[in-house]
Amino acid sequence: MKDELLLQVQKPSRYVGNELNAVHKDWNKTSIRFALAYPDTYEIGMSNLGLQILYYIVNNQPAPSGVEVPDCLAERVFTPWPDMEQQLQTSNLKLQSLESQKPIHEFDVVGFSLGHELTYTNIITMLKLGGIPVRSAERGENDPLILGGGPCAFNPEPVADFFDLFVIGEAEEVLIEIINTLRNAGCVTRNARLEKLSGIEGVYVPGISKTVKKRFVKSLDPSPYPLSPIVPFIEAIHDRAAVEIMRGCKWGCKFCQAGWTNRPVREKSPEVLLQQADELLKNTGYEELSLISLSSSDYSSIDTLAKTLAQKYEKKKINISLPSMRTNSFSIKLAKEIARVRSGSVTLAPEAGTQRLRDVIGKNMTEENIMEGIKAAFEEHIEAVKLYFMIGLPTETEADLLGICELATKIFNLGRSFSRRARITVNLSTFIPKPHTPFQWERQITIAETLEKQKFIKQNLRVKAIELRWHQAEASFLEGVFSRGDKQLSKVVEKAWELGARFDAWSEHFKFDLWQKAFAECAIDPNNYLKERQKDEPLPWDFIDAGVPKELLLNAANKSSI
Amino acid sequence: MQRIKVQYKKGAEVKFISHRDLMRAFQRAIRRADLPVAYSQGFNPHMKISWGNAIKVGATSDNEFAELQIDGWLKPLELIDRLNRHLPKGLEIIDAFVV
Repeated sequence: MKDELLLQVQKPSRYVGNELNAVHKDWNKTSIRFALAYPDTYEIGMSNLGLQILYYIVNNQPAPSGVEVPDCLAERVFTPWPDMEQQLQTSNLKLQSLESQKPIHEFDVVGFSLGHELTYTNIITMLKLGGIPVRSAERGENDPLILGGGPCAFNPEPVADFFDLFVIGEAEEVLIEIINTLRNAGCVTRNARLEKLSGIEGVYVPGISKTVKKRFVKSLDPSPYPLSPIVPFIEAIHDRAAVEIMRGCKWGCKFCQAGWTNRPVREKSPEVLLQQADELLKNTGYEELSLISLSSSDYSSIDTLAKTLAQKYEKKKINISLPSMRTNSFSIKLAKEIARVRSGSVTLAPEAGTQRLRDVIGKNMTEENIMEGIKAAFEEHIEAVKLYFMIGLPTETEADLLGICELATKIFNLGRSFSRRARITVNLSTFIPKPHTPFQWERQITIAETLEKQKFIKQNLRVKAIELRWHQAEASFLEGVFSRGDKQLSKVVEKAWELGARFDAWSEHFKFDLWQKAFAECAIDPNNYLKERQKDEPLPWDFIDAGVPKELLLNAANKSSI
Repeated sequence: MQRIKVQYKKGAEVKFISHRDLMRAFQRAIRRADLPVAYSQGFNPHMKISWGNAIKVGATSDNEFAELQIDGWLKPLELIDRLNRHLPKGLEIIDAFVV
């Protein structure tokens, strides 16, 4: 990319690559080329573990028999910030991969990671700037296959028209099967290739596949894991080495999609983790090692593992961090023992303000648990507590909202009895019913109701020293529409993009009026998507088997309606 | 205790990297090379390195300087060799001498 262009945009290093451990292969010596695309900024995309895993798998595929050099290549591409988008457009340049600086339409496959519904317009930006027809139906023999995967692929319908195929579930094994299929498919037509790919379990080809079953790896120990991940120059959101200690979560909170779709629970053994941690730190030079999972407190030997690592790397001044731990006296004590740099805050997600509602949503946490954990934190001189609640949960009443205020006040008073500097933050998000959860049939509250509930809590939270924050009601509304959306919505995404919608997950860019206009022009009433669904009604994602039978979700749902 | 001054190159591959990000890349290379750089005392210790002035983003130079405080003794030539094996492409130690 030309210097003059890079000098005119914010953070030019987002577009340059050349980081430590980036893989640069000879373009002309490879025949199966993947562009791994993340529809958000470099900093967000580079914090994604999935992207690093897939990059590692493709670039480390051994050469097939009879071929001398490995034939697979993976390169990265992220969404250009609007200033760069404009530069590319006015200079009539294509969006390029970071490594070889090749326009993305020259790749065989462009794989998008779908982590969040509000990144959908960024997919359009990348396809358009990449010189690739936006709709699958418009693509020809020379266009790449556009592949989607990640959490949002569990309901791919709202973006299905933009994609040629999806991978449902964990991609480690499927990706290799896709590569093998592409190798053997030779130079047959695009349709023939897609037909063959649709035969792979876990692959959904819109228009060809009837049903699809999610894939997952049986065991994490032998599963490929990048031990020389790319180390960004710019500070990524998660700027540290990470070992994945566990997949899945045993709790089954009824609102949590990750909990239901990432089953079964699998742990990586401590021996493998210790070895991986060692390699990772040696190959990256990071000053922090994070043990990641959905709920790290549930890892069988978390105590021994964390302490062993802390002791081993104490001399090297490497900090061991444990995000996603339940706050209780055990985790506070453990954090105190292992942390070199102590975090001054704890985070707790009671999700609901009363015990009744916590029981309804399956959040296994009593007020006693909450107070015990927070007391332990205050006793260790932690002065900031962040609390996360949802509003608009099924069966919620005013009493539950008042419960949020009471609980926060109680925690505040406890904190002030320890320190005059105790700070409490209450974060409110709007409940969004997600596919493949027991709450998938529930109704989502409207924007007006959301604003009303936010106001109600603000009025009843008498202690003004408690900081109150909330999610933008309109953004949650849109996320809700797309979470349970259907095929019709692709035209709305395209229309909103044409009207100028970009980076909708960024509040500074989010323009709700553009979306309202897009819905109106497509003659679609978005409010319909927020409505309660009948239990016998067909749902857009019914054709996806996410590993949990519908009867099981129904049973769990019925239990919660008490 | 020993102080080593290094002269390094900021090449084309990294010319768009800000000074702050460059400092972090250096520190990580030092960790990978396992060099005995001294750390400050206190709760959140950091490497004792003093940096020359930042050049502007987009410019290359082979005349940049930094001064490392070493915990113990290290031959400047060994430092050059070990660090260059671990620096990202575009960064290179050209010279090092005890001050």
